Amino acid sequence: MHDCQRFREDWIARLTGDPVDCEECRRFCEETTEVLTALASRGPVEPSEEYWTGFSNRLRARLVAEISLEHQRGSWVRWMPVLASAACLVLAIAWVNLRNPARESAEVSISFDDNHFEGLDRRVVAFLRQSELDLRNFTKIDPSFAEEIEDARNRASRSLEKMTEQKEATGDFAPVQITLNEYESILREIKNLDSAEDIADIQMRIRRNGLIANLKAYQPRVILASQR
Amino acid sequence: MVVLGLSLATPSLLRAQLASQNTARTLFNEGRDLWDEGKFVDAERKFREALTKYPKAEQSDRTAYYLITTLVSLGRTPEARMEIENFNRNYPQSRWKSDVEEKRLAISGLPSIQWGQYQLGLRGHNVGGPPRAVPAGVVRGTKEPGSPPGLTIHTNPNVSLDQEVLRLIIEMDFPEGIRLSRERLKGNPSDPAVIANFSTIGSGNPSQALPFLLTVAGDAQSSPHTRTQAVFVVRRRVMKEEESVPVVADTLSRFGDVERRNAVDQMVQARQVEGAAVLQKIYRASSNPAVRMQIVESVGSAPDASTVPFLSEVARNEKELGVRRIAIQSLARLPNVDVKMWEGILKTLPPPGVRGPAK
Repeated sequence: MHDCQRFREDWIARLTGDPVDCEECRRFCEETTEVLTALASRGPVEPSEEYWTGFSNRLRARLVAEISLEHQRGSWVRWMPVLASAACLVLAIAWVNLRNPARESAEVSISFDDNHFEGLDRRVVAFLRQSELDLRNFTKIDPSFAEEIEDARNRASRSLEKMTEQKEATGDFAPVQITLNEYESILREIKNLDSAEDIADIQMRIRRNGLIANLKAYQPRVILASQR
Repeated sequence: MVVLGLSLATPSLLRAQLASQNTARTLFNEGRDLWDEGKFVDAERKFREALTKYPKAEQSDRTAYYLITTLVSLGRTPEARMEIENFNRNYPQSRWKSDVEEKRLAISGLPSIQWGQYQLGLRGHNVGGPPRAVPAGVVRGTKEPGSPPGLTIHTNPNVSLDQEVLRLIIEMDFPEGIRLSRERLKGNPSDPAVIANFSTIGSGNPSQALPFLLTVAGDAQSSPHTRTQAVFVVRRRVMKEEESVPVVADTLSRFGDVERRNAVDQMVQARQVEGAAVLQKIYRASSNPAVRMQIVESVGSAPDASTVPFLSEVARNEKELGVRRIAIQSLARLPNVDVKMWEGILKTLPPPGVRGPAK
């Protein structure tokens, strides 16, 4: 099907030179040929002085208008990436805070308080600290961790060797004495472990008695700046 | 060809992995030994080396936890926080997750009291709305079967995490911490998360802390260990601060007979170096004859040489004759009491025919 517009564009671009049945297009081709022939015979046309003055004024006015428009539009366009980034950042922070609200206080400074065990031998405090970590470790041991079990047994033996000295150093601190007694019985069980089921039983006992919490109770307490 | 190549490469690959594993373990053990000796800076170096060189080694999550603990011990909290973030990113399924969460709370605090209540599973009377958010991965425990009506108490498998949350609530809002502790003890009179916080409670406002601890000491439901620990904290407070003595005396005067006897007996049983001194202070501070009577009865139930001066003082100076009588009876059970002391007591007794108020 003949498309007048398409044919005329192709004809100008010299993509087609085929004759055409369309009367209007045939007339368009003839007129255009006449105009082009006439222009070619006159040679290059030099614009007048007046034209160049007008051109200069028009160009300046156009530039002013463009710059003004660009300024209005530019304040949006130029800041768009910055605003978008800021919005993303705000959303990210809000999202992270919702997931993990404690980050609000992430920069809280701390100090240590040891008034609650004033008078308790420092060696005992160090022993409690070490014992706490040993027990945390033991509660994570899987029966298949042969090396870890052996390590726990060795450490239990070493801690038992120090136990009498630690208890003597505890003095009148009844809660620490109670905790060390419980811990001693756990250490003996660890030292004498002989089956995988024993491990689960001991781990359960440690959790049920809250032994880790008790070992922690008479160590320095972290005090947040806001609580001072 | 590929299969042949793989079968040849696998043993050497396994050997290399095993070697890495062993080196990582050695570094960890060295770090832990240094940590045990309190050489935290050197320990930190070893833990960091293990994590940097062998980040994929088995139990590197444990090494990361030790590193965090070391940094907290050194007071380098910004670095500890950074390592906590690394831990959560690198080991989302770690068994050490709740231990790390405990550290995070200790150095960053609770987001809110409500969050702590939620974490402890205490969302009963007088507790506000739900928390804004709960950190992912923190394990909520199972419901305690003996929860009091109107309360939902859960216990966490990691008791020390509960202890830390409760401690932070006590530090932030003391009355609320006491209330929550009381509620938890209703569910489990030997709740270790509460008992491990007795010393924190004992450092708070005496007018709230001491009645709470004395109630625990006087409660027949509490285990002997629980009562011993409660009394220990009361005793220390009384010895440290004179102003706490009237609070203890007043609390005991408001107790029923059984509760009062339990609490005072516990103090006598837990008597060590300062035990007698504590009871004498309370005796002198109390205007309530029933409290004084109970103290003398409890002290006199197993008199020994160290209690003679106190009982003798009561026998001479106590206004209530009933209380005096108990002191004299207790002294009479002791062998080798100085005759001069008896003479002194007899001189202070009222003339025959004058009776003191009925017991």
